Formats: sequence, C-alpha cells, structure tokens
Amino acid sequence: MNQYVLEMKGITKVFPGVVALDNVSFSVKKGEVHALVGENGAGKSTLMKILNGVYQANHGQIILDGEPVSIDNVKDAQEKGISIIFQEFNLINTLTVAENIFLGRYNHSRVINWKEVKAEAQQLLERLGFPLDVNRIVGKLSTAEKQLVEIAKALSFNAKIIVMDEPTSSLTKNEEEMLFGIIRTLKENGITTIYISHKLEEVFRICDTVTILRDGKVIDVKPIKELTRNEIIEKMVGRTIDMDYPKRQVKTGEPVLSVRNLCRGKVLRDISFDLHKGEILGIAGLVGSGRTELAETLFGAEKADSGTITIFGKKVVLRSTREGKENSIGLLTEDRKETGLVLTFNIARNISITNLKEVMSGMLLNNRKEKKVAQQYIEALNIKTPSVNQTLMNLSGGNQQKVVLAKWLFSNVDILILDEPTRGIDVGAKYEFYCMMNDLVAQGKSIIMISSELPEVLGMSDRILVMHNGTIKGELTGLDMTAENVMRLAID
Amino acid sequence: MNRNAAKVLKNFIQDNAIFIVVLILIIVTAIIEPSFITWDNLLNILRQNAVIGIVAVGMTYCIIAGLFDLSVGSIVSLSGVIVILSINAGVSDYIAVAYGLLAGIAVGVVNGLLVSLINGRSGEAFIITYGMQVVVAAIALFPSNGLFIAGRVQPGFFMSLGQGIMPIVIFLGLAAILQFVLVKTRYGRQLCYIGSNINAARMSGIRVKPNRVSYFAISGFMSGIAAIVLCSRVTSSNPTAGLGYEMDAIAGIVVGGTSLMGGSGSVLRTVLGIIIIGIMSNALNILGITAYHQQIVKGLLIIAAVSVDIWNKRIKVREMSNEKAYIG
Amino acid sequence: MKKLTLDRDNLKTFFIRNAVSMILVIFVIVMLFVKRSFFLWDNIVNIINECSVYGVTACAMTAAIICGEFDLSASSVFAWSTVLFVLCCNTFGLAAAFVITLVCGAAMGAFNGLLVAKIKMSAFVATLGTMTAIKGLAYVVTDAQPINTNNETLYQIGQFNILGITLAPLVFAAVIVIFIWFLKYTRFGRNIYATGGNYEVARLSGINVEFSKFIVFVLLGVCAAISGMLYCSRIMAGWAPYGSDLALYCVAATVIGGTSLMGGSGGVHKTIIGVLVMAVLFNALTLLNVDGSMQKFIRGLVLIIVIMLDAVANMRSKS
Repeated sequence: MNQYVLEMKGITKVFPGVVALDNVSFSVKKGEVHALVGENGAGKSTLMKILNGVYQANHGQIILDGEPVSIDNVKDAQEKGISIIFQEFNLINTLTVAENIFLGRYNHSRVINWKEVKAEAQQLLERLGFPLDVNRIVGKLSTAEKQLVEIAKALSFNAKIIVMDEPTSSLTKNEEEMLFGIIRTLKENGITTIYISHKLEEVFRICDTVTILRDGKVIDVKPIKELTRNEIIEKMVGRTIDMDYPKRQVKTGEPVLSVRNLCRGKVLRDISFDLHKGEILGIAGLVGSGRTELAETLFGAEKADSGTITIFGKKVVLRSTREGKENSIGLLTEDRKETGLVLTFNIARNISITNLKEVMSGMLLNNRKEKKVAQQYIEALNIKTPSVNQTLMNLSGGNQQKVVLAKWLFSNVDILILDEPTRGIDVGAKYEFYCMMNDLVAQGKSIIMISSELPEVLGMSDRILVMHNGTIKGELTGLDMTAENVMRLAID
Repeated sequence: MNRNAAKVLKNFIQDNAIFIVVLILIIVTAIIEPSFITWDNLLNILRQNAVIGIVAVGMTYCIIAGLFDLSVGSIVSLSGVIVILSINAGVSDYIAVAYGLLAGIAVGVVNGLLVSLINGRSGEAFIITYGMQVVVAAIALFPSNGLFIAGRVQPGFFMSLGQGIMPIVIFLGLAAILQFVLVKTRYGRQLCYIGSNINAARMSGIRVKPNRVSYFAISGFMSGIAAIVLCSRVTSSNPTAGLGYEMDAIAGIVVGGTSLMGGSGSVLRTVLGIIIIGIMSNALNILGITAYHQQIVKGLLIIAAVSVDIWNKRIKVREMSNEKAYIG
Repeated sequence: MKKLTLDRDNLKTFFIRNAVSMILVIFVIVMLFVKRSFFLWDNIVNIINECSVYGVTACAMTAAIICGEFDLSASSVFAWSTVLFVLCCNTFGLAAAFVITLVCGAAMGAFNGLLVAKIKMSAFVATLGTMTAIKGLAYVVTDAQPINTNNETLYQIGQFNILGITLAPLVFAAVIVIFIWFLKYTRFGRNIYATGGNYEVARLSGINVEFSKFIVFVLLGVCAAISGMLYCSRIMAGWAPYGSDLALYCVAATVIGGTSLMGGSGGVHKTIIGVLVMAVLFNALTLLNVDGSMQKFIRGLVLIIVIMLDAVANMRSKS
C-alpha cells in the first residue's frame, strides 16, 4: 500500500510576469502532520490553491492515494477528500453551526429533518472532542470555535487531507492547545493534516515532517527531528542576492515623524519610533503583525486610541486622511485596485487627484496642465502606455503601480508610506521603483517602506523595524540587518 | 480598415442605443404629423419639461456619486407649499423664494447626514430617501390638509420666474452651471472620484462624508428651485405636486446615458435625456398614445437602459486583459 | 466552551434592533388606559381583518429581504391584480379570474427575478422600473377609472366571516404557516437564508444562488396578487392607485419585526409581530383622531427610524 496519501509532482504555475511555482514536488504521507513553511510569496498559498481546485497548474501531476487525479474546482476537491481551512473562514455568519457544517447538503427529500442534521453535527463535534452547541449562530463564535466548525465540516466530507492555513494566528494559548488536541485526534483517525504556519515553535511541537519553499521552489523536505530552528530559517530566507539595489549616499537628519505609545484596539500596542529626514525606514513582519494598520493610523485613515504623533515638531491629531495629507503624509496602499486607483479613469486623472491645485488655473481645472503632468511622470517612471489618455484598466499591474506612485509623488508630501510597493511587478520595473525612492530621499523626503519581500527590505532600508503581533519587536541597523535576524524577530 | 470601422460603429451603437431608438421614433412622428417639428412645438416641449428637468439635473450629482435621492418629488411639493404660504402671509417675494430653497437644502442635508451616519451606499440611500419621501410628502400635506393653496401672488419677481421662457432659461442655465462645476472644478472632479471608487477617494485624502452630504443638499436645492418655477407658473401650490417626479428624473438620467452605478456621467447627458423623453412624450401624444401608456414606456425604458449599461460594462470587463494579481 | 452570555454589548444590540417593537408594546399598554374602545371586539376584529390583506405580501417580502433583495413593484402588482381580477370576474367568472390573476402575478414576479438574478440588475432599480410600468398598465387598462364588479360569488366570499373575522385573516394565517414551513424545512428555504447570508460562500458550496434570488421575486408576485384579490373581495372594485403604500408597509413590518435588511437572518414568525405592531399603532392613531397626513408622516418616520436602527445594529455587530 502506498504510504503517500498525496503526491504533487513537478507542479509549475505561471502568472503573467511571475513564476509562482517552479517544478515543485510535494508529497505527504498518510496520517502525518506535514508542515509547509516559507516566507510570504514563497508559493505556499498557490500550491494549496492548486490542490484545492482554485487554480490549475500549468504543468505537473497530482496523485491521490496512488491514483492520478485532476481537480477542477473547489467542490471537486471537497468530494475527493481535500478540505482547506483558510484564515478568512468559508462560513455563513448568520446561520447556525449545524447548518454551516451541512451547508447545501441536506437530505435530498423535500423536508429537512433537523433532528437528524443536528444530531449528526453534534456527533462530528464530539468526535473532535469538543461538543459545541450546534444551535449557536456562527457569527457569534470565537475564532477558535469557528475553526472547530470548519474542521467538523471537513470531517463531514470524509476529508482525507485537511489543510490549515495559519490556524493559530488569532488564538489564545488555551485555544492553541485545543487545536493541537484536535490535530492529534485527526491523526489517530488516519486523517492527514497539512499545516501552514510561520510559527516554528508550533511546527516543532505538532508536525512530523516539514517542506520548505522559497521563491516557488522546494528547498528541502525533512522529518522535523532532523532540523533545528535556525536551519529552517536559513533555508527559508537564504538566497544569493541576484538583484543589485541602487546605491546612494545615506544622509539622514533629525526626526521628521515621531510616534510615541501609539495604541489602537488590539492591532497596535504601544508603538514608538522615529523617522528621520532623508531616511528609508523599512518595516518588516508577518502578515497580520499590524504593519498596514500602523500605516493607516499614521495616514489618518483610522484613528488611534491613544498615543502621540509628532510631525516636524508639531503634535498632530489625525482625524481623516485629508488631515494626514495636509500634514504631509501620504500612503501608497497595499491593494491598488481597491484603494489606490480608479480603474475607469485615465492616467492623468489618477495622478492629479492628490494635488488638484497644481493643475488648476485660478479656480478651474486645466486639462493641458494635467496632461503635461501625466506626460512628465510617464517619462520619469517609464510607464509603458500607448497614450496619455490610456485608461488604467488597460495597463499592466506594474504600470498601474507606477501610476499610484506618480500620484503620491505629485502630492509632494514629505513623508511617504509605501505598503508593499513592488508587489506583482517585474524585476525591471522594481529597479526603476527603487531608483525613484532614492531620488526622493535625496531630495530630503522620508520614506517608510512596508514589505514582505525580505530582499527588498534588506536592500533598500537604512534601518529596519520588525513588527510582531501589533508591537515593534526589534530594530535592526547596520550589519545586523540580515534575513535571519528579521525572520527571527518576525516569527514567534 | 473595414474591421476597425465596424468596431467603432458597434461601440457607437452600444453607447447610444437609446438615442437611436428615439431618433427613429421622432422621424416617424415627423412624417405623420409635420407640425411636430416646428420651433413653437419644440419650445413648448422644453417649457413643459423644464421643471422636471431641473429636478433631474439636481439629482444627477447624487447618481454620479453612486447614491439615490428618491425624496426629490416630495421636496418639490414641500417647497412649493412653503413658498406660497409665505407669499400669502405677506412675506416679500425674495424671502419667500429663499424659504422654499432653504427647505429643500434642509431636507437634503438631513438625507445626507442619515446616509453618512451609516456609511451608506446606493442601497441604503435608496431606502432612506424613500422613507424621507413619505415623511416630507406628509409634511407638505399638513398646512392645507391636502388641498390646493391658491396663491395671492402679485406680478413681480416670483411670477416672472414662471413666465415665458424663464423656466427654460433657469433649467438650461442651472444645468450649464452644474455641468461646468462637474467638469472644471476640484469639487466636481472629487465627485467623479468618489462615485467611481469611494475607498480610493478616501485613501487619496478626500473628505468623503461632507462631500456626500453636499450632493444631497444640491439635489434638495434644485428640487426647491423646480418647485418655485412650477408654483410661479400656476400661482398656487399643489401639496402633491411632485408625485412621481423621482421616477421621471431617474428616467431622464438613465436615458441620457449616465450609469446608475455611479462614477461616470454628466449633467449634459441628463439634459439630453430629459429633452428626448419630452420629445418622445410629445410624439406619442400626437400619435394618440396617452400619458398612462407613456408611463409603461418609461418604466420599460429605465429597465432597458440599465440593462444596456450593465451589458456594456460586462463586455468592457471581459475585454480587459485577464490578469489576476499574484499574491503568494 | 462558554455559552453565549447576554453581556452588555449584545444587550445593547438587542435593544437597538427591537426598540421600535418595544416602544409600541408600551404604547399599547398606554392605550389600555386612554381609549377603552380600543379593546372592543369589533375593533380588534377590524385590526385583524385589515392587517391581513397586506400581511400576506409582507411574508413574501420578508423572504426577499432574507435573501438580500427588495421589491418596490409589489405595490403595482397589487393594484394591477385588483384591476385584472375585476375585469376577469366580469368577463370570465370568478374561478378563471382567480387563476389568471395568480399566474399574472407570478409572471410579473418572474420578470423581476430574471432582471435581478440573471442580468444582475440592482433590485432597487429593476423594481423601480417594473413598478412604474405596471402602474402605467393598470392606469391604461382602466382609463384611470375604478372598475366595479357585481360578481355575486365574490361578494359572498367577501362577506364571509366567523365572529367578524373575514377570509383575509384565514388566508394570512395559511400563508404564514406555509412560509414558516417553507423557510425552515425545505432546501429551497434554507438556500434563501444562505444566499442572503453570504452570496459567495453559498455559491461556492454548490447552492443555486441565482434560483434563490429568482424564486423570492416570484413569491412576491404571487402574494401581491393574492393580497389584491383579497382586497377586491371587500371593495368589489379595482383601481390603479390601490396599494400604493404596500411595498413600504411590507418592508417596515419586516424590519420592525426584527429581520435585518442585511439578509441571512430573521423570519416570517418575526414579521407577524411587525404586522401586528403596525396595525395596532395605526388603529390607535385613528382612534385618537389623528388625521390622515399625520398618520402618513408617522408611517414614514417609523420606517426611517427602524431602517437607521437596523443599520446601526449591523454596524455594531460588524466591528
């Protein structure tokens, strides 16, 4: 009998401009708890989405229990015994636990036998060892309880493989123990778990084997006992730097932005730091560590609960993004399609919006001025477009991102926060971006760069702050700025 | 060369389907009844549709912003009542007019505040202004318990507003101003931005809430003006004068080509839409099709126009390059 | 595992959601002391008879709101149904008229359903359009005049009563039971909840979301037709302006009852409360000699208040 319940062989997945997975082979033994680790962008999500039927691989084969299969969509995957539990749960918050478990799958006769449905749901939960009241509304459950429902749902599909994506990111210590207990129960029942997590401590506790991905390739596959924490980190991040980051003279001055004891709910806890004139301050950390929330608070998009923000020596209270901009702060957001651009507008109109005064003559907008501005930025940033009037929708991702940058350059703010600025851009465009950043700080502006791409953070930052769980875990300068150090601080 | 020409033609027909249909109707009517295309008749059409035109033009800002204002009809009723009552009470023409306008602005501001309080989008705006319509319409009935109020109007400023070509001048004049503001000012540009992508607008440093309240205020203000023109012409006030105006306004906006989903559109298009509906009504009247039949047509027209708009948008999205943002 | 506790936040949300019903319950108690005539059997029977006509459609509107949709055209379908029913009674007789009107209501609902479910038009805009068109149709066919019928059978049906309770409450009760059963015990009913609760998740789980959206509009068309016919049996006439406040009434009843406009929760059993509350409120106002326009004002005000309260409650539960 084949000991492997799942074998993914030679999986390659290409997106426009990016090779997400390069000849990845991923094999999981029946009944084991198999960890899948790697930084953001390493390809873990993509690999799992292929397994789940969301994506189709360009090349490669998937073999389940010795039989080659094709997984066409999510329902197909579910029926073949593969269930994924994402961080944003796939549940309907207004319905009960029992209903969510059997969503859309009641007995096929006309009348639903609720007694039966509830009893079956209750049974599933008891198998996991945690009998929730199946009448509770899912929306009111805690994260741990919702996870429980998702796992019970997977069981109801007779799942052979359950993939958990960052399952403990919002759990308390007790709830983590509960989850580990459940995973052990699953193991006893012969169910395989694929465990995606950054928390190496957990990986060492609960997993049998670990596969390490980096840049879309498998770096190593080993039983967990044969590796140390440091070895894993090294394999996760170690790479030859094949990109030359543009050099510049680093000349930083006094603090232009000072943050003291900034707090916001549970997402930001007692943040304090300075940003100096002419500096590129990198902020690293895992997804969910609070970096974007920090950016939003500094920009005025969200209000802080307590703490002070001082800009150019003046204490400010930011109640709106307009006040953020008036205080010379700009934010290049993480998701350009949602919050960065108006895709139905042309380049000129997207750029001018942050500083309409500059394209006006008197009280009126001046189209000629607007066009000229757009032309300038198209040349300066090398935006590839057939014409100035091109609608944003028709530009490639990289060029769209350049327009967003142009928008903020045009705003003439002195402090620019960049949140994942080079996501989804090809190498050439990235280099141009970095050059622009250098030009900015040479002019005396200051940049905060939030990025999940370690090479970029290491290559461009003068200093690095590493965030973890809403706080600044540590600061790295000079020769301390290494990938391992960053990872060590970022991970639990 | 031929393929390009065909594509351009197809796009033109898609964008202007409604215009073309109505154009055909006009031609047919003109053949049947030549007096249809006289200056007198056309001027008459404009005059008859000036009031609803003013309302529609005022609502256009809300629509572009991705909102709805269904209370416009009742604001017309209320403003009219207030103006006539004021005049009857001996207040000067100018002040009476001011009261009417203030009433419109006040209702608009209330609409705006309610919608902004719950960070509402088009759906919430729809229901809330629908409720306000009932409330305001009821308020308009209070003073006279539903009866006409005859106005003791002397010839003067107020009366002049409804005479001759004044309604047309006010309609087109205000439309021109609003179009100008939309296209040429910072405020107008921000409106387009907010209507296209409200999140991006906020994250670009635009103060979204106050702006949105202002769109409702403008809608209310314009409804007030429409009421004044209307009452001036008939020198009395009908407490249910504005009944059904919101439908006609939306019909005008939609026929003009402005998308109800917000983000694009222009006041000019609304003017065109109102004129076209006016011409169409006139033509149908000549052909013996009565007002109630026209209501059926209006309803179907709205559905047809919105369907075409949705269809167009879907095609545009499909033609876009199929790039999914890669997020590892 | 902790049981759900009624902590302060949950309590606040509960109060916000049910504020209006509670205030109106208090109102009723006040009436006890102010206007004894309120509690006469005749009056109570009156309340029950009147609210039942619109109540039938309120059930269907609840289903639509649970599915995350909304229907303005119910008012016009009601009016049109009165017109069509009377015309057909005069021409074809009662039985045929009943079938024709019902089928027509279903067809109009189906048209709405197509627009919203298939073409993905916003329900607001779609039903605004159909409302206008159908109202126009009613006016055209009757030349804006009310049309009467002398159909003897219809008259008897209309006069039928047990202890003063006419046919309408019986139909209403039956419709309530059917809807409660449908929404709780059938796959289609649960799919409506799922679709309204989270369209994407429901879709990914293999639920036919388009059909759910479609069917609620058909139900609305059918129920509006039934309401119209019940109205006819008492009035013995059909006229275009009838039922112009039906849509608003149904939405208000649904939201007052506690079903959220966001969709995915609530139920017809809650709408009964909303219907009763509104019926009691307006009966009380009439007894207190509050005039027509003031009553309209209060109707609109109540609607806005419950909508705002619902929206605020939703905002709180999201954060």
